[in-house]
Amino acid sequence: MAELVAAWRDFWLAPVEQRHVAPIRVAACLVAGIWFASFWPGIDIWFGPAGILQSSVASEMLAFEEVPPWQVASPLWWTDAAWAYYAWVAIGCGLSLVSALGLGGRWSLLCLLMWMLGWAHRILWLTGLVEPAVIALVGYLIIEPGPSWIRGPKSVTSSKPLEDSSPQASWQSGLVLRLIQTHWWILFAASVCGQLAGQIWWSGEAMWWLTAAGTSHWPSVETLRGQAAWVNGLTHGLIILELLALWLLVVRSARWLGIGLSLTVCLAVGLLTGQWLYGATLAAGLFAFRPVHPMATVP
Amino acid sequence: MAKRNYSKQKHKRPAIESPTGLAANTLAGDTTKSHDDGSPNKQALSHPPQLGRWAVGGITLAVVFHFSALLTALASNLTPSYLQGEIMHGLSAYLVPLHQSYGALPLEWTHASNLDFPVRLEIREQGQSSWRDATPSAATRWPQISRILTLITEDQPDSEVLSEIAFQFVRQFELREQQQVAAIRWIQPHVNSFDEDLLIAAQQTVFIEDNLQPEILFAARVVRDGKVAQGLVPELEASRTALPVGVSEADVETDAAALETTQ
Repeated sequence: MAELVAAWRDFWLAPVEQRHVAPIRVAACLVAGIWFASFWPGIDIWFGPAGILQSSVASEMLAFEEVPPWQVASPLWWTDAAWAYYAWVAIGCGLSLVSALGLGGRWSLLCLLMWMLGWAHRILWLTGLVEPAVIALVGYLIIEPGPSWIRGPKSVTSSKPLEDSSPQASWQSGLVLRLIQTHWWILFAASVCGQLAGQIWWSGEAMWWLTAAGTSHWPSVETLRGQAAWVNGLTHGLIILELLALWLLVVRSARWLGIGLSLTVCLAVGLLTGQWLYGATLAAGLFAFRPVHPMATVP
Repeated sequence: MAKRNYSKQKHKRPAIESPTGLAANTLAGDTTKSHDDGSPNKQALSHPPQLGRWAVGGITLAVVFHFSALLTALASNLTPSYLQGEIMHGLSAYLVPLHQSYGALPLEWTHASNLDFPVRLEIREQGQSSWRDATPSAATRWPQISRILTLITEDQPDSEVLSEIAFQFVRQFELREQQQVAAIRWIQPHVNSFDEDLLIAAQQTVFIEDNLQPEILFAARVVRDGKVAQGLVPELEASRTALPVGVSEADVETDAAALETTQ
């Protein structure tokens, strides 16, 4: 029992250098910034005085879905002024940049998380898979954002510079890596399970339906027309690729191969479903799987 | 604050492979190997103090609760059971505010169901007989809201929410295009299967022609007071039109067929 407790403790709370968290923060915050910016062209359509989802209609939809308003609270429910939505998106982009640079440490990430939640709660019916994933990433990073990239080897969680240049290790860094790894793996596995619950993924037709939906970027319907072997091969190949990636990510000696295959899956998400931001979010999470190099200790 | 350093012996445990792959002692800093990645392996590290038992217990509880909730949300994604539904209801106070309630989001990429194919929004202007495509571009996240519209239409086709949304589309279209709208509808375009597509390519479409027609999910006429649109009147399906007592739909169909034969 003691061994089990120790293993659990080591798994979640082993100290890791804070610098290992920084690339995840930069990638996640950049995705968050692009996510905010991606709403800019559609604000006039969905929000504002003549928006499809103006607050009165959106409130009715909330009531229809029996979602208590407090669960999706956001200041944006109070106004239909288009400028407020544009301002929200612009500030969100700025916060993402500030957080990516590591300025403000936990506080800027906390502000970014609140800003993202405020937006996600208001746009509710426009959200897809990217929102839960990128919000979770940013949320985990609040525990330990890693060092700033523009202030040298200084922890962003501390207001005081280090007395020397020795790298900092913390259990929070290890916990963040573990949380992201676990979340990423569960999400990826759930996606594969969901795919395998559909008959078209077994019969090899899924690739055809993905392209026929009109949201994929490659391959086109014309490319696949009459090419049964290609359609079947790509469908089965994708499932094999996903299963291999899931497996190799948990095999220490094949970790880099697992990361490479997972990146291919992220690319496939963008190409085949048109959900580039979701693919980018998954790719950002993969930074957490990079093997952490052992650290020398002070004798 | 006092900083405690970890000795080699202290962390020299057998490698414990985790579900996410990193051996616990690797992450913790197994010092039995050296790596030449340019990282400050040889430098002294500032280690944090060890956590107390209560702190570890609290973190453990939080981690277990969080991932249990997330697993439940993901497992309920396709067709939640009664039990999953009840649990999700209880967990919604945690998952929804954090935007981790996956609801009907398509984790599976596609199952080739109607939900996976965005509906097309069409408008008929005053004085026109043809329908005009008014679907917002995919870049504006139309596929997401299309999925919601399809779900509501399949679940409650006479819901007032559908009319409300449709009316917003009408108002926006009139503002943008300065045209009066007579009717609005959204349709589920027919998506050809691989085999159907082959037949079409070979120009053997005769026997599947009926299947190629799009399905009208929602249709409504615009009610006006002068130039101002006041609201929508949904057009009901023929099968839902009230019939006189004692007359069944089968009777009506028989009469129609007889009339057609006579003509």
